[in-house]
Amino acid sequence: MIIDYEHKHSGHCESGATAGLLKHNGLEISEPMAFGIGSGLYFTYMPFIKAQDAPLFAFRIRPGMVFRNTTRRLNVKTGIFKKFSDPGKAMMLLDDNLEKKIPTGLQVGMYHLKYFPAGYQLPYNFHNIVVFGKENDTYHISEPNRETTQLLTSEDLKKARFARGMFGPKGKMYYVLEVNQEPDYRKAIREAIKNTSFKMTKQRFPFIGVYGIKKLSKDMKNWPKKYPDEKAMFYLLQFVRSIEEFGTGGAGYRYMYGAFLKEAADLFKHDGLHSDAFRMGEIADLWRDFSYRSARFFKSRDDSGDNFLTLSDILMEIGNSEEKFFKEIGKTRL
Amino acid sequence: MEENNNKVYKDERYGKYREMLYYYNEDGNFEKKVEFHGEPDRVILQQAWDFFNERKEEARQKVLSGKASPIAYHMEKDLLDPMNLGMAAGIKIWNVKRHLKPGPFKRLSEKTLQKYADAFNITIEELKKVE
Repeated sequence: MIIDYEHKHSGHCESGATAGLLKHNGLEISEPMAFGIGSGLYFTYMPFIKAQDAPLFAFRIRPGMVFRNTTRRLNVKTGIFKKFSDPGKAMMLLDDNLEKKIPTGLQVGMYHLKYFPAGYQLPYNFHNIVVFGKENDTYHISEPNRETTQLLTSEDLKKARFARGMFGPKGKMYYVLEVNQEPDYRKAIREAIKNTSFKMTKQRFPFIGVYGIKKLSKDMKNWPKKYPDEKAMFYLLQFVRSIEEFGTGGAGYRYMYGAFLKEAADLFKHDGLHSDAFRMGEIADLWRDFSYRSARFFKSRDDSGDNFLTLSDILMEIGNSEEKFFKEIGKTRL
Repeated sequence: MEENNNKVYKDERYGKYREMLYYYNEDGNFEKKVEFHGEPDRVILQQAWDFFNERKEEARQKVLSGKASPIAYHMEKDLLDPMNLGMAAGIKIWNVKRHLKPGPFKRLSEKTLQKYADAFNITIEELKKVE
């Protein structure tokens, strides 16, 4: 049983899976659009939660929210199973769905996905894939981060769906039942932009949103004093990796969000959004600049060019311009 | 599929697959390209892997000289930390930290060893030795 599902290569796993599932049901939206309407952009810095011995950095909202927000705002009927206590039942329901020709999105741990090379098999539990077929004991998987579709045995898929560890997926699955062919994009995008603005600037908790960026900038100044050299370097390394590497499409999703604003501006012929998109692009370039200069710092390992102080200044600048940007974008009239 | 000809990575396995990356170009448009990571990204990734390999090597030396248990090596190899390993294996974090020492590791029961082996996706024999 293989469903005729069009595989889509994408930058971010969850918005890619969401866009793919919607497209299969006849509502064609691009990946940045799914990301933007799902208000996926965020920033979190959690020094008290450690992942691989470094603080947790995240540039996106809670896993699962992009799909939920997007489908709610576009009035799409969905089925979501948040968690299963019994792995056997979870696999059975997945098989049922495939029998009914419904491609199904899954949250999985990357550790057990055998098609990734060893260096990528991280204990990372927020990955999303779409299963669209089963033959004998092998599942056909549309892996958003790859150009081609992949195969996985049912044993491995079961392990991946019930990967233990921090924020385990617990077999979460989601699928689209019925789409609204003519959704109100204006309302959806207005809500999405307001929500992102609120999340980035109005929640006055020092570790999230733009306050998180500023807090990180302040902490970064102290890293070389507080920790031994190796450790401070490792923290910065992990931060830059999470900006550029972990399926963000570059610069911590900022380019993707800019692409969303641009697309929305073209859709409504809205001048305000056009200039917002440009500003987002410039902020994204600042992020990219930050990671490039950090890379140079790693390579040379001397303080003559850039060091923690100058890097933290760039980060503060980013924090300030993002604060201004997201405060203004919340007032956009659509 | 295109092969990556730009040999920046020391390890052959890395950098084989192209990714979707977004860009903002000079005339103010966003575009997406399917390509390999650029040079600065590769520097970062190579540094990260060098760092992890260093830690792995350090752990291996410690195990060979009898200062740590094999679990410490497997933990570094799989890029885990005591908390995540404990959650993956279903063992309390303070016990995991204790089991990183060779003495308490020798006294572990078969059942606990099996828990660790399952978490690392290997057999008990493989768990007891380092490569």
